[in-house]
Amino acid sequence: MSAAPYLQINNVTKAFGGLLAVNDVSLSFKPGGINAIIGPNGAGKTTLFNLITGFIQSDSGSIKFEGEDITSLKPFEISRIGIKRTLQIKSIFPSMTTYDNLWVTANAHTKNLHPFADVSKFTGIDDRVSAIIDKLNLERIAHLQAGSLSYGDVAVLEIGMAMIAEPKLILFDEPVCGMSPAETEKVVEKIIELSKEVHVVIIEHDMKVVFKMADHITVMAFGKVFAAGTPEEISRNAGVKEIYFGSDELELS
Amino acid sequence: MKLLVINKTLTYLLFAILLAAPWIIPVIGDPFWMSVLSEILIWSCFAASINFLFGYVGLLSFGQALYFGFGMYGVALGLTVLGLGFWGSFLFGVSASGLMALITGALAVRLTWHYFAIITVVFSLIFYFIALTIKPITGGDDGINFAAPEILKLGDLTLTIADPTTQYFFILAVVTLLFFVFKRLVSSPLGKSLMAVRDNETRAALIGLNVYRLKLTAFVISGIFAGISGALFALFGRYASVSYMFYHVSGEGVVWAILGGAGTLAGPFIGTALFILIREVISSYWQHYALIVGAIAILVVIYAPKGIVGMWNQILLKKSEGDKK
Amino acid sequence: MSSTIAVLAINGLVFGLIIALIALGLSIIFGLLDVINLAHGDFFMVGTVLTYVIFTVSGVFWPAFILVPLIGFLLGALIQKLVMERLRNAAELSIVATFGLSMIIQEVVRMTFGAAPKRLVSPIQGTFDLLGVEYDIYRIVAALISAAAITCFFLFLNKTKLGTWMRAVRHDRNSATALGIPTQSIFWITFGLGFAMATLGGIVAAPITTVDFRAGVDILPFCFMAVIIGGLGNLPGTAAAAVLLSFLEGVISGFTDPTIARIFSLVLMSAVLLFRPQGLFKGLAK
Repeated sequence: MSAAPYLQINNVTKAFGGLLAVNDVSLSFKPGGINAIIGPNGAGKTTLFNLITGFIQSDSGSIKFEGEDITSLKPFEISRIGIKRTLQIKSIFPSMTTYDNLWVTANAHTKNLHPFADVSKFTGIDDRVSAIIDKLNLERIAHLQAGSLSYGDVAVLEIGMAMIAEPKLILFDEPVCGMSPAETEKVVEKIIELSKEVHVVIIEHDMKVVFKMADHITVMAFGKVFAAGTPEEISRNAGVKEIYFGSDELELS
Repeated sequence: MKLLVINKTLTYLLFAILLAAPWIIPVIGDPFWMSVLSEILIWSCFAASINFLFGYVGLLSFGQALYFGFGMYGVALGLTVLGLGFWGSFLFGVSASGLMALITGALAVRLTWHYFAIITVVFSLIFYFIALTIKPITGGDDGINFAAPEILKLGDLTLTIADPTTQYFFILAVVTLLFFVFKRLVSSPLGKSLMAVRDNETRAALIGLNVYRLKLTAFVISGIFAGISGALFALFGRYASVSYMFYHVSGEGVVWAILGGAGTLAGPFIGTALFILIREVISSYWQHYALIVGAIAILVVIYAPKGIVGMWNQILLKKSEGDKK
Repeated sequence: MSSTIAVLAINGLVFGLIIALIALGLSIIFGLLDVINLAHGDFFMVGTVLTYVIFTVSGVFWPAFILVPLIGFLLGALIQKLVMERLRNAAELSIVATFGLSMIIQEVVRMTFGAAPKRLVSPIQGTFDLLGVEYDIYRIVAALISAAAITCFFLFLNKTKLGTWMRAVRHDRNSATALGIPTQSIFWITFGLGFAMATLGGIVAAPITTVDFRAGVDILPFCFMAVIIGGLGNLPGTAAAAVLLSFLEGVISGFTDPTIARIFSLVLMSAVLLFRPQGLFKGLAK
């Protein structure tokens, strides 16, 4: 099996004023399992995601996805290539139903949106939406307003929205942030299942979750890559424990 | 689902009443109210343009009077200067407003909402002043009057807008058509994508929607609605005046749209009807109708921001959920 | 001929200083409260009307300088507490509320004061020779008073505790609250101050403009132009932009229709909004 990296980040730097949020970072994400990025607050993890998805432009360096340079693409172009992302703060379309949220996402890549036909006429899209609803057991909330859903349900809807567009890579930014243990377990399960079909990179603080899900961990601190390796290697790395020293973010099981 | 049925029935009822109005109104009151009804219908299109942009896309434009003005003067000048007939000038007016919306929209929708609202006012002021300056053409605030062209000539049958009943039915036909277009638009893929942009612009970009293009499309559609309103106004008043391009007109439209219910289909009509009726009724006793408009504007945004139809839908929704339990 | 242009230019400067005062009031409301205040021009108009009334009733002009801004401040604080406060979570709707306010203010003035424009007699009569033209002494006094008021405003903002608090809230509302600054109070103080400044402009302008319930409508776009071109949050920039724009419009209207001068300013404003939204006077910001 080819170990060519699907996502290649080369010497990327981003400064905000005087602060080097991302400092000459180079990373290779290879297929075969979930890649996790961990690190204390302010390490540059979310900034990295923002750079990959085009929300901010790097000052220098390049980002390649499946060999193609994506460094200067805009967010909606990145999305159309097949890179999807969830945000730290759960973010869906609150006034629309779960079904419509998924429908809009599935249809988003259409170049010319039809202005007159009723949505129910688009059976192709409808099939895909129904398939995702089945897969993620969303039937009971399918016609409820997304804004009224519980936090856990919103997270699953977000995963559904990430999956429905037939992505190649999904970036999860703290997917279980603020969830109950039951909700966390459900979401972790779904992501692990998902990773069998698409590439997955997650940012996460909850170490139990990281060690459960990740096949490869990258540790960032102060805008730089501090360490990278398998979960066993990282858990044995004394330096990693030190950069978390004093914070209660580290809970190794 | 009960909500849909109730609303649908009410809409058909309203439509039936509107159809029968030319025969009902002279019986229960002064025929003058027919022209008020025509006025309400014309201005509901204007309110609809604002409602579409704000309620369904999340963009608050305070400058729709500009496109109203282009529609209005498109017709006026089409008839007087360019010698176009009824349909020619109507088309000319609507196209002019659409084109204007395209040009100004291309610039305006790049801005975030504060600056977007301001620039829509600025654009409308620029053209208001330009229109004032070219007074020989536009007639300035005094405006220009012109004759009523024929709508249709089929052998012996001539329909002119001078005939009040023909006029009313023409307006009703156009407005009804617009209503159905609006309805289709809202439940179409385009409509749903616009609502996604309204709900969460960042997320919309993330899922791959071209937000700029969507906003611009909505802006042009909205401009066309306002242009149709202006064109109808000119055709039926046989009058065009620069004073209708001033931002007060835009502002009043915003108030009607919000009172009626932003983001609802019936909102524009209800809001406009209420205001115009209040004005007609009150101004026979009291000249200070502007106080009421101002007061309602403030009260609505504080206590009833969803508007009349919005609140009605909420009540129905609560009832149907209560019934389920 | 050129002396006419010079006079127009100087008029432009005089009005520019008055507008700067009003526009600063608009800027703090926009910057601190996130409110696009469509009634700000009417606040100015109220200032002119109250001044006229005080003069007509008492025969004296100068008490207006104390009474009117006080009334303005109280009205502003009241409006913020009763209306704008309730809309803090629906920022877009606040523009509709200020529009409604504008309609109410104009109509109330029309009802009580009347629809006919009136002229106020200047408290300082007399002219002096300026470049061969007889120029009102009062206008120079008006310019000086405005300049003094603007200076006091900046001193207040930068040297007093309250002013520093206001700047802190402007910069970052949440951090300011966390630091213990009474943000809620700052909100109504700001709105009151904005109203007061607009009325102060009205007092000063009353003798050299028509006192009319529609006077606010003309002033409003101009104030917004100053705020946008000067740069939102850039108070010195706003003042500079007001003076510059008024001066330019004055000069241009020597050559052509004043309406054309106005169109020019509006186009400039659009260009700034679209291409340089931080304003033209970035360098002046602290």
